Amino acid sequence: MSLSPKELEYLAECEPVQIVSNFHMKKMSLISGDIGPLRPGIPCQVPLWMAVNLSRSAKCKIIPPDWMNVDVLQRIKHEEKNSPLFTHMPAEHYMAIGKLLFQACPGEIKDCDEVKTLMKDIWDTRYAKLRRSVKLFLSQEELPLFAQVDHLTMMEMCQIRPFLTHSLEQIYRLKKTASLAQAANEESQNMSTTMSSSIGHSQSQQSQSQR
Amino acid sequence: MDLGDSFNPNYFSLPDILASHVRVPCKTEVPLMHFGFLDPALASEDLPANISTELPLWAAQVMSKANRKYVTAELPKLYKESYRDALKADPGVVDLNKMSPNFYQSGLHLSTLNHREAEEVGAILPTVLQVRLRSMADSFLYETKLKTADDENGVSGLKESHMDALEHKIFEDSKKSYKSLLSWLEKPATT
Repeated sequence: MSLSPKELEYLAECEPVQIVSNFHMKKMSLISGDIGPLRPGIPCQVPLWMAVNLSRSAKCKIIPPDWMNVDVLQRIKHEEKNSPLFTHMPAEHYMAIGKLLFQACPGEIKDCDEVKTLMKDIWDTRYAKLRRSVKLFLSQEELPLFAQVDHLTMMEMCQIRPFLTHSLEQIYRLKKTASLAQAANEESQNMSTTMSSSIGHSQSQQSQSQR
Repeated sequence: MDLGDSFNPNYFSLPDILASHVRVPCKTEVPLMHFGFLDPALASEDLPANISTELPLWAAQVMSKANRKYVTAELPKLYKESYRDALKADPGVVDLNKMSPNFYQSGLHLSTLNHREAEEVGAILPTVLQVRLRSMADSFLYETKLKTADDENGVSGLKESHMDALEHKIFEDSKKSYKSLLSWLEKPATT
Protein backbone atom coordinates (compact mmCIF):
# COMPACT_ATOMS: atom_id res chain seq x y z
CA MET A 1 0.00 0.00 0.00
CA SER A 2 1.19 3.43 -0.81
CA LEU A 3 -0.31 6.90 -0.98
CA SER A 4 -1.15 8.21 -4.43
CA PRO A 5 0.02 11.65 -5.56
CA LYS A 6 -3.56 12.88 -5.20
CA GLU A 7 -3.72 11.84 -1.57
CA LEU A 8 -0.37 13.50 -0.97
CA GLU A 9 -1.71 16.67 -2.53
CA TYR A 10 -4.51 16.52 0.03
CA LEU A 11 -1.96 16.27 2.83
CA ALA A 12 0.00 19.17 1.40
CA GLU A 13 -3.10 21.35 1.54
CA CYS A 14 -2.80 21.41 5.34
CA GLU A 15 0.57 23.16 5.19
CA PRO A 16 0.39 26.76 6.46
CA VAL A 17 0.87 29.62 4.05
CA GLN A 18 0.85 33.42 4.45
CA ILE A 19 -1.94 35.44 2.92
CA VAL A 20 -3.01 39.06 2.88
CA SER A 21 -6.79 39.20 2.83
CA ASN A 22 -8.92 42.12 1.72
CA PHE A 23 -11.84 41.46 4.07
CA HIS A 24 -12.62 41.11 7.76
CA MET A 25 -13.16 37.71 9.33
CA LYS A 26 -13.51 36.73 12.96
CA LYS A 27 -11.40 33.97 14.41
CA MET A 28 -12.57 30.62 13.10
CA SER A 29 -12.12 27.54 15.30
CA LEU A 30 -11.66 24.29 13.38
CA ILE A 31 -10.70 20.84 14.62
CA SER A 32 -7.14 21.27 13.39
CA GLY A 33 -6.79 24.65 15.09
CA ASP A 34 -7.83 28.29 14.99
CA ILE A 35 -7.64 30.35 11.84
CA GLY A 36 -7.51 34.13 11.76
CA PRO A 37 -8.73 36.65 12.64
CA LEU A 38 -8.24 38.16 9.19
CA ARG A 39 -7.89 41.89 8.70
CA PRO A 40 -7.42 43.62 5.37
CA GLY A 41 -3.81 44.35 4.59
CA ILE A 42 -2.36 42.37 7.49
CA PRO A 43 -0.56 39.10 6.68
CA CYS A 44 -1.95 36.02 8.35
CA GLN A 45 -1.17 32.32 8.33
CA VAL A 46 -3.86 29.97 7.02
CA PRO A 47 -3.85 26.43 5.62
CA LEU A 48 -3.09 26.11 1.94
CA TRP A 49 -6.55 24.81 1.04
CA MET A 50 -8.15 27.92 2.46
CA ALA A 51 -5.66 30.23 0.80
CA VAL A 52 -6.29 28.63 -2.58
CA ASN A 53 -10.04 28.90 -2.12
CA LEU A 54 -9.97 32.53 -1.03
CA SER A 55 -7.62 33.57 -3.78
CA ARG A 56 -9.87 31.93 -6.34
CA SER A 57 -12.71 34.21 -5.30
CA ALA A 58 -10.24 37.13 -5.29
CA LYS A 59 -10.52 37.67 -1.52
CA CYS A 60 -6.85 37.44 -0.72
CA LYS A 61 -3.33 37.54 -2.03
CA ILE A 62 -1.11 34.56 -1.35
CA ILE A 63 2.45 35.30 -0.29
CA PRO A 64 4.53 32.48 -1.75
CA PRO A 65 6.85 30.69 0.70
CA ASP A 66 10.38 32.08 1.08
CA TRP A 67 11.97 29.19 -0.75
CA MET A 68 9.90 29.69 -3.85
CA ASN A 69 12.29 32.01 -5.62
CA VAL A 70 14.97 31.55 -8.21
CA ASP A 71 18.00 32.19 -5.96
CA VAL A 72 17.06 29.70 -3.26
CA LEU A 73 15.99 27.03 -5.71
CA GLN A 74 19.15 27.44 -7.75
CA ARG A 75 21.21 26.93 -4.61
CA ILE A 76 19.19 23.84 -3.67
CA LYS A 77 19.56 22.44 -7.17
CA HIS A 78 23.30 22.99 -7.05
CA GLU A 79 23.60 21.32 -3.65
CA GLU A 80 21.44 18.42 -4.77
CA LYS A 81 23.58 17.85 -7.85
CA ASN A 82 26.86 17.88 -5.95
CA SER A 83 25.85 15.83 -2.94
CA PRO A 84 25.96 12.04 -3.03
CA LEU A 85 23.17 11.91 -0.45
CA PHE A 86 19.80 13.58 -0.49
CA THR A 87 19.77 17.15 0.73
CA HIS A 88 17.22 18.79 2.97
CA MET A 89 14.20 20.15 1.14
CA PRO A 90 12.63 23.43 2.28
CA ALA A 91 9.18 21.83 2.45
CA GLU A 92 8.01 18.27 2.95
CA HIS A 93 5.48 18.58 0.14
CA TYR A 94 7.43 20.87 -2.16
CA MET A 95 6.07 19.32 -5.35
CA ALA A 96 2.43 19.48 -4.30
CA ILE A 97 2.69 22.98 -2.82
CA GLY A 98 4.39 24.14 -5.98
CA LYS A 99 1.73 22.64 -8.16
CA LEU A 100 -1.13 24.17 -6.16
CA LEU A 101 0.44 27.62 -6.02
CA PHE A 102 1.42 27.72 -9.68
CA GLN A 103 -2.19 27.16 -10.47
CA ALA A 104 -3.73 29.41 -7.82
CA CYS A 105 -1.52 32.47 -8.08
CA PRO A 106 1.01 32.38 -10.91
CA GLY A 107 1.09 36.17 -10.79
CA GLU A 108 2.31 36.34 -7.19
CA ILE A 109 5.38 34.19 -7.79
CA LYS A 110 8.33 36.05 -9.20
CA ASP A 111 9.74 34.44 -12.38
CA CYS A 112 7.04 31.79 -12.18
CA ASP A 113 8.19 29.82 -15.21
CA GLU A 114 11.79 29.69 -14.09
CA VAL A 115 10.77 28.60 -10.62
CA LYS A 116 8.65 25.87 -12.16
CA THR A 117 11.53 24.61 -14.27
CA LEU A 118 13.93 24.68 -11.33
CA MET A 119 11.54 22.68 -9.18
CA LYS A 120 11.11 20.11 -11.91
CA ASP A 121 14.89 19.90 -12.26
CA ILE A 122 15.30 19.33 -8.54
CA TRP A 123 12.63 16.63 -8.63
CA ASP A 124 14.27 14.93 -11.59
CA THR A 125 17.70 15.02 -9.97
CA ARG A 126 16.35 13.55 -6.78
CA TYR A 127 14.33 10.92 -8.59
CA ALA A 128 17.30 9.80 -10.65
CA LYS A 129 19.36 9.62 -7.46
CA LEU A 130 16.65 7.59 -5.81
CA ARG A 131 16.56 5.05 -8.61
CA ARG A 132 20.31 4.82 -8.67
CA SER A 133 20.48 4.11 -4.96
CA VAL A 134 17.71 1.52 -5.23
CA LYS A 135 19.72 -0.28 -7.88
CA LEU A 136 22.82 -0.05 -5.73
CA PHE A 137 20.84 -1.37 -2.80
CA LEU A 138 19.78 -4.40 -4.83
CA SER A 139 23.29 -4.95 -6.19
CA GLN A 140 24.87 -5.91 -2.93
CA GLU A 141 25.60 -9.57 -2.45
CA GLU A 142 24.31 -9.71 1.08
CA LEU A 143 21.35 -7.43 1.49
CA PRO A 144 22.45 -4.67 3.85
CA LEU A 145 20.47 -4.01 6.97
CA PHE A 146 19.99 -0.31 6.42
CA ALA A 147 20.08 2.41 3.81
CA GLN A 148 20.42 6.09 4.46
CA VAL A 149 17.23 7.76 3.32
CA ASP A 150 17.33 11.06 5.21
CA HIS A 151 15.48 14.00 3.76
CA LEU A 152 13.37 11.97 1.38
CA THR A 153 10.01 13.63 0.96
CA MET A 154 6.76 11.71 1.16
CA MET A 155 6.13 11.91 -2.56
CA GLU A 156 9.48 10.29 -3.32
CA MET A 157 8.99 7.54 -0.79
CA CYS A 158 5.54 6.70 -2.07
CA GLN A 159 6.87 6.56 -5.61
CA ILE A 160 9.52 3.99 -4.85
CA ARG A 161 7.60 2.03 -2.25
CA PRO A 162 5.77 -0.50 -4.46
CA PHE A 163 8.96 -1.55 -6.20
CA LEU A 164 11.42 -1.52 -3.33
CA THR A 165 9.35 -3.05 -0.56
CA HIS A 166 7.84 -5.77 -2.72
CA SER A 167 11.22 -6.65 -4.18
CA LEU A 168 12.94 -6.89 -0.83
CA GLU A 169 10.07 -8.83 0.65
CA GLN A 170 10.18 -11.44 -2.11
CA ILE A 171 13.95 -11.80 -1.90
CA TYR A 172 13.64 -12.22 1.83
CA ARG A 173 10.86 -14.80 1.43
CA LEU A 174 12.95 -16.87 -0.98
CA LYS A 175 16.00 -16.66 1.24
CA LYS A 176 14.09 -17.63 4.34
CA THR A 177 12.48 -20.62 2.65
CA ALA A 178 15.78 -21.77 1.21
CA SER A 179 17.43 -21.76 4.62
CA LEU A 180 14.42 -23.42 6.22
CA ALA A 181 14.46 -26.18 3.61
CA GLN A 182 18.15 -26.65 4.20
CA ALA A 183 17.63 -26.99 7.93
CA ALA A 184 14.78 -29.44 7.39
CA ASN A 185 16.86 -31.54 5.02
CA GLU A 186 19.76 -31.67 7.42
CA GLU A 187 17.45 -32.71 10.17
CA SER A 188 15.86 -35.47 8.12
CA GLN A 189 19.33 -36.78 7.29
CA ASN A 190 20.23 -36.84 10.97
CA MET A 191 16.93 -38.45 11.67
CA SER A 192 17.51 -41.34 9.29
CA THR A 193 20.72 -42.24 11.15
CA THR A 194 19.61 -41.74 14.72
CA MET A 195 15.86 -42.22 14.29
CA SER A 196 15.27 -39.74 17.05
CA SER A 197 11.83 -38.70 18.17
CA SER A 198 11.82 -35.43 16.26
CA ILE A 199 9.70 -36.61 13.33
CA GLY A 200 6.81 -34.34 14.15
CA HIS A 201 9.12 -31.40 14.55
CA SER A 202 10.88 -31.89 11.23
CA GLN A 203 7.58 -32.39 9.45
CA SER A 204 6.13 -29.22 10.85
CA GLN A 205 9.24 -27.40 9.71
CA GLN A 206 8.90 -28.82 6.24
CA SER A 207 5.29 -27.84 5.93
CA GLN A 208 6.24 -24.38 7.15
CA SER A 209 8.91 -24.06 4.56
CA GLN A 210 6.48 -24.88 1.78
CA ARG A 211 4.61 -21.68 2.40
CA MET B 1 -5.50 4.04 -4.22
CA ASP B 2 -4.49 0.42 -3.96
CA LEU B 3 -1.09 -0.30 -5.35
CA GLY B 4 -1.35 -3.97 -4.62
CA ASP B 5 0.02 -6.13 -1.89
CA SER B 6 3.11 -8.18 -2.07
CA PHE B 7 2.69 -11.80 -3.12
CA ASN B 8 2.44 -13.97 -0.07
CA PRO B 9 0.72 -17.25 -0.81
CA ASN B 10 -1.75 -18.83 1.58
CA TYR B 11 -3.35 -22.27 1.36
CA PHE B 12 -5.94 -21.15 -1.19
CA SER B 13 -3.70 -18.96 -3.30
CA LEU B 14 -4.27 -19.87 -6.95
CA PRO B 15 -0.78 -18.99 -8.22
CA ASP B 16 0.62 -21.16 -5.46
CA ILE B 17 -1.63 -24.08 -6.39
CA LEU B 18 -0.65 -23.68 -10.04
CA ALA B 19 3.00 -23.61 -9.04
CA SER B 20 2.65 -26.94 -7.25
CA HIS B 21 1.36 -28.59 -10.42
CA VAL B 22 4.70 -28.68 -12.16
CA ARG B 23 5.36 -32.13 -13.58
CA VAL B 24 8.12 -34.03 -11.86
CA PRO B 25 9.72 -37.08 -13.49
CA CYS B 26 9.47 -40.01 -11.11
CA LYS B 27 10.41 -43.65 -10.99
CA THR B 28 8.27 -46.06 -9.00
CA GLU B 29 10.02 -47.97 -6.23
CA VAL B 30 7.18 -50.34 -5.33
CA PRO B 31 4.14 -51.51 -7.31
CA LEU B 32 1.40 -48.92 -6.96
CA MET B 33 -2.09 -50.37 -6.74
CA HIS B 34 -4.76 -48.82 -9.02
CA PHE B 35 -2.27 -46.38 -10.49
CA GLY B 36 -2.14 -48.01 -13.92
CA PHE B 37 -3.94 -45.03 -15.50
CA LEU B 38 -0.72 -43.06 -15.24
CA ASP B 39 0.72 -45.12 -18.07
CA PRO B 40 -2.05 -46.15 -20.50
CA ALA B 41 0.43 -48.10 -22.62
CA LEU B 42 0.71 -50.72 -19.88
CA ALA B 43 -3.01 -51.46 -20.03
CA SER B 44 -3.03 -52.81 -16.48
CA GLU B 45 -4.80 -51.59 -13.38
CA ASP B 46 -1.71 -51.44 -11.21
CA LEU B 47 1.55 -49.65 -11.86
CA PRO B 48 4.52 -52.03 -11.45
CA ALA B 49 7.80 -51.03 -9.80
CA ASN B 50 10.65 -49.46 -11.73
CA ILE B 51 8.48 -47.56 -14.21
CA SER B 52 9.26 -43.97 -15.22
CA THR B 53 6.31 -41.65 -15.10
CA GLU B 54 5.43 -38.06 -14.29
CA LEU B 55 3.64 -36.85 -11.19
CA PRO B 56 2.54 -33.38 -10.19
CA LEU B 57 4.87 -31.76 -7.72
CA TRP B 58 2.46 -31.90 -4.78
CA ALA B 59 2.09 -35.66 -5.22
CA ALA B 60 5.76 -36.31 -5.82
CA GLN B 61 6.59 -34.40 -2.66
CA VAL B 62 4.67 -36.71 -0.36
CA MET B 63 5.35 -39.93 -2.26
CA SER B 64 9.13 -39.53 -2.28
CA LYS B 65 9.69 -38.84 1.41
CA ALA B 66 12.57 -40.72 3.00
CA ASN B 67 10.42 -42.64 5.45
CA ARG B 68 7.67 -43.60 2.98
CA LYS B 69 9.38 -43.91 -0.35
CA TYR B 70 7.01 -45.00 -3.11
CA VAL B 71 8.77 -43.17 -5.92
CA THR B 72 12.15 -41.61 -6.59
CA ALA B 73 11.71 -38.05 -7.77
CA GLU B 74 13.99 -36.37 -10.27
CA LEU B 75 14.20 -32.62 -10.80
CA PRO B 76 12.26 -31.26 -13.77
CA LYS B 77 14.56 -30.46 -16.68
CA LEU B 78 14.33 -26.71 -16.13
CA TYR B 79 15.76 -26.95 -12.64
CA LYS B 80 18.59 -29.33 -13.53
CA GLU B 81 22.21 -28.37 -13.18
CA SER B 82 22.76 -27.24 -16.78
CA TYR B 83 19.81 -24.85 -16.60
CA ARG B 84 20.88 -23.67 -13.17
CA ASP B 85 24.32 -22.89 -14.53
CA ALA B 86 22.79 -20.82 -17.31
CA LEU B 87 20.79 -18.92 -14.72
CA LYS B 88 23.84 -18.35 -12.59
CA ALA B 89 25.84 -17.10 -15.58
CA ASP B 90 23.40 -14.39 -16.62
CA PRO B 91 20.04 -14.36 -14.88
CA GLY B 92 18.92 -11.30 -16.81
CA VAL B 93 18.57 -12.85 -20.26
CA VAL B 94 16.73 -16.08 -19.42
CA ASP B 95 13.11 -16.29 -20.55
CA LEU B 96 11.58 -17.45 -17.28
CA ASN B 97 8.04 -17.06 -18.51
CA LYS B 98 8.69 -19.65 -21.20
CA MET B 99 10.57 -21.96 -18.86
CA SER B 100 8.09 -21.92 -16.04
CA PRO B 101 5.48 -19.21 -15.50
CA ASN B 102 5.74 -19.64 -11.73
CA PHE B 103 9.46 -20.19 -11.65
CA TYR B 104 10.18 -18.94 -8.14
CA GLN B 105 7.16 -20.47 -6.45
CA SER B 106 7.69 -23.86 -8.11
CA GLY B 107 11.34 -23.61 -7.20
CA LEU B 108 10.41 -23.07 -3.58
CA HIS B 109 8.27 -26.19 -3.59
CA LEU B 110 10.99 -28.15 -5.34
CA SER B 111 13.54 -27.16 -2.72
CA THR B 112 11.67 -29.30 -0.18
CA LEU B 113 11.69 -32.34 -2.47
CA ASN B 114 13.63 -35.39 -1.32
CA HIS B 115 16.44 -35.04 -3.85
CA ARG B 116 20.15 -34.47 -3.40
CA GLU B 117 20.13 -31.25 -5.48
CA ALA B 118 16.93 -29.80 -4.04
CA GLU B 119 18.80 -27.50 -1.70
CA GLU B 120 20.75 -26.00 -4.56
CA VAL B 121 17.54 -25.14 -6.37
CA GLY B 122 16.36 -23.24 -3.32
CA ALA B 123 19.73 -21.58 -2.94
CA ILE B 124 19.89 -19.98 -6.41
CA LEU B 125 16.37 -18.50 -6.30
CA PRO B 126 17.09 -15.38 -4.19
CA THR B 127 20.21 -14.54 -6.20
CA VAL B 128 18.42 -14.89 -9.52
CA LEU B 129 15.52 -12.74 -8.36
CA GLN B 130 17.83 -10.09 -6.97
CA VAL B 131 19.83 -9.74 -10.18
CA ARG B 132 16.73 -9.71 -12.35
CA LEU B 133 14.97 -7.13 -10.20
CA ARG B 134 18.01 -4.92 -10.49
CA SER B 135 17.73 -4.85 -14.24
CA MET B 136 14.02 -4.23 -13.81
CA ALA B 137 14.65 -1.30 -11.45
CA ASP B 138 14.28 1.35 -14.08
CA SER B 139 12.47 -0.60 -16.74
CA PHE B 140 9.10 0.41 -15.38
CA LEU B 141 9.80 4.03 -16.16
CA TYR B 142 9.26 3.30 -19.79
CA GLU B 143 5.61 2.78 -20.16
CA THR B 144 5.60 1.21 -23.56
CA LYS B 145 8.98 -0.20 -24.27
CA LEU B 146 11.55 -1.47 -21.84
CA LYS B 147 15.18 -0.60 -21.80
CA THR B 148 17.22 -2.54 -24.29
CA ALA B 149 20.67 -4.02 -23.90
CA ASP B 150 22.39 -0.95 -25.29
CA ASP B 151 21.40 1.53 -22.59
CA GLU B 152 23.87 3.69 -20.65
CA ASN B 153 25.51 1.20 -18.33
CA GLY B 154 25.36 -1.70 -20.73
CA VAL B 155 23.30 -3.57 -18.18
CA SER B 156 20.77 -5.64 -20.03
CA GLY B 157 17.21 -4.74 -19.15
CA LEU B 158 14.57 -7.27 -18.37
CA LYS B 159 12.04 -7.96 -21.13
CA GLU B 160 8.46 -7.93 -20.01
CA SER B 161 7.73 -11.14 -21.90
CA HIS B 162 10.56 -12.85 -20.03
CA MET B 163 9.17 -12.20 -16.56
CA ASP B 164 7.63 -14.89 -14.48
CA ALA B 165 4.41 -14.24 -12.57
CA LEU B 166 6.13 -12.94 -9.45
CA GLU B 167 8.33 -10.49 -11.33
CA HIS B 168 5.43 -9.40 -13.46
CA LYS B 169 3.41 -8.49 -10.41
CA ILE B 170 6.18 -6.31 -9.00
CA PHE B 171 6.64 -4.77 -12.44
CA GLU B 172 2.95 -3.93 -12.80
CA ASP B 173 2.73 -2.38 -9.32
CA SER B 174 5.79 -0.23 -9.94
CA LYS B 175 4.48 0.88 -13.29
CA LYS B 176 1.16 1.82 -11.76
CA SER B 177 2.75 4.10 -9.19
CA TYR B 178 4.83 5.81 -11.84
CA LYS B 179 1.83 6.30 -14.10
CA SER B 180 -0.20 7.82 -11.29
CA LEU B 181 2.59 10.34 -10.74
CA LEU B 182 2.70 11.24 -14.42
CA SER B 183 -1.03 11.79 -14.65
CA TRP B 184 -0.99 13.86 -11.45
CA LEU B 185 1.77 16.09 -12.79
CA GLU B 186 -0.13 16.72 -16.00
CA LYS B 187 -3.57 17.26 -14.55
CA PRO B 188 -4.63 20.61 -13.02
CA ALA B 189 -5.12 20.52 -9.23
CA THR B 190 -8.50 19.36 -7.99
CA THR B 191 -9.30 22.06 -5.41
